[in-house]
Amino acid sequence: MGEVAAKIKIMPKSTETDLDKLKDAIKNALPKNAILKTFEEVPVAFGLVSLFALVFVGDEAGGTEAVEDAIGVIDDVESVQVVGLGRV
Amino acid sequence: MAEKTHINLAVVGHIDHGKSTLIGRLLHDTGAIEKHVIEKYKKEAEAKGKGTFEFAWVMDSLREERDRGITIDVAHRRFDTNKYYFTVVDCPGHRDFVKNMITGASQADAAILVVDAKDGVQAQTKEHVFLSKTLGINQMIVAINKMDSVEYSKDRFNEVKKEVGDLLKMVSYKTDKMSFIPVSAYKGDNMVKLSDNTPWYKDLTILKALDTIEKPGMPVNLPLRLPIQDVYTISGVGTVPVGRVETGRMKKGDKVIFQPADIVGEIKSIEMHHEEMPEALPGDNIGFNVRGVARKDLRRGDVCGHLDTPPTVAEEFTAQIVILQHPTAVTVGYTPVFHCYTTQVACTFIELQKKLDPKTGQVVEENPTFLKSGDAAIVKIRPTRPLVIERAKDIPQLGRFAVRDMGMTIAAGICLDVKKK
Ligand SMILES: Nc1nc2c(ncn2[C@@H]2O[C@H](COP(=O)(O)OP(=O)(O)O)[C@@H](O)[C@H]2O)c(=O)[nH]1
Repeated sequence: MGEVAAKIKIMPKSTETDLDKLKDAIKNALPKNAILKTFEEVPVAFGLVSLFALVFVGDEAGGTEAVEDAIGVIDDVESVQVVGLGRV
Repeated sequence: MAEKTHINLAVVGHIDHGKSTLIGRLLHDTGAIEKHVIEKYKKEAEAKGKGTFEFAWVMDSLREERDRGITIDVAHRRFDTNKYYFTVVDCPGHRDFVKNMITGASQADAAILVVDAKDGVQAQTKEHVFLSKTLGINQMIVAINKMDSVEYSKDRFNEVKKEVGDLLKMVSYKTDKMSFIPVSAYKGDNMVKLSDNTPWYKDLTILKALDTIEKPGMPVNLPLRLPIQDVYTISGVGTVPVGRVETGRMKKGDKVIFQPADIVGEIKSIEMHHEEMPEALPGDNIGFNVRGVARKDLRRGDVCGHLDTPPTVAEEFTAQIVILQHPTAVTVGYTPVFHCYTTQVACTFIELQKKLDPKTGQVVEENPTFLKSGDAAIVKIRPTRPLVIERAKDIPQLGRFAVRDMGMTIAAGICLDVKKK
């Protein structure tokens, strides 16, 4: 089957969003078959900071959909976008 | 010494045709894997009496390596040729990743298409060829792999070469300028040096072919297009849309228009990584402050362009698509969701104009009544609400889309022509 590494860009609701809390919320929200590998914070502009997550999912039906949905519904999340994909 | 130019390389092809093996082989033969790692695995192999073929162990070590030293990058494997340094992405096999590759994932500069010499063109070979074209990857090297399993037969190589060539021509790849290379990724034939097993082949090795790649230029000379990802109101600053510049350049002071919102504004300042910059270029992820625009005027999927070269809002558009999977059939009236850049809009198939033969690109049927999995076709589409889309020929970054329905990626395509609103 194989696994796919997905680099996911998460934009917070505002400049005030607590990114550590957001990371915890993401960890808790991820579906069981997704494995969180690492986070990185990348400053964008005017005090806004984006969060990148590296998540492994199966190379199978559904792709990253369940992961995107799970992160997307978190209150502090403005948007979710997969910005990189590769088999591991 | 100056740093070599960097090339993003995608390895595509049907599952099990040897993509990971080929990547492993490239890393091994170019010396990208540290000597001591290879030594260690060689010793282990010997100790376990598993023979001395170290390459199998290299493959294992690569799989193990992924769990150590994980970085945020999906393309963390690097190797060097004389001219370039490459980072490699091994493309996912499943169709459901197609949406992400079209809408968000960073772009490869070139691709190696791996085709099993025994199996020839398979379902994912077709999908990946179409996808590569959709993504605007114009430079492709074809590796006809597992030549050892067909006794290094020249005839079989030529058969598969023709089969793949026809497929590539269909999506208008210029096959006479492409390299088709008989290889065994496993044994190492024609990867970095010409092999005695294929005395009939005197052309480029994979490594040499990689050096013929040209680094694509940044699309700075195209009109500015920045699809909005999110819009913020930041106190003390004002309205701040964020997004990635796809084409063109944005400068402080520029008069811009957002479509389909149809709102005009002026760029007051641009920041990237919290630093102010006078000008943003393709690939830059920026936030910018616009005068004359309120947060409520804009939404995700609006596209920012210059007043004199505004983004094109489509009433209807013609597209070439390939149906990746559909439980029944696509007919006129079907209205799935189209994903382009950062937006999602339900669009109706209003005409099925031509069905194309996926092997030759010839029209096999005018006005077909339905399309099913595997079909390629020219169709006419009407968005249910205003949508910016460009002809792929003019602005490829804004001319491609994935079609989703029922939690599946149904189709991928490029826009051929737009009837403006
Ligand atoms: N005989 C032969 N087998 C190969 C060659 N390359 C790969 N394979 C085998 O084909 C299978 C699939 O290879 P893999 O690299 O995992 O394919 P992928 O799914 O395309 O990444 C494995 O068992 C490999 O050992 C080759 O050049 N010759």
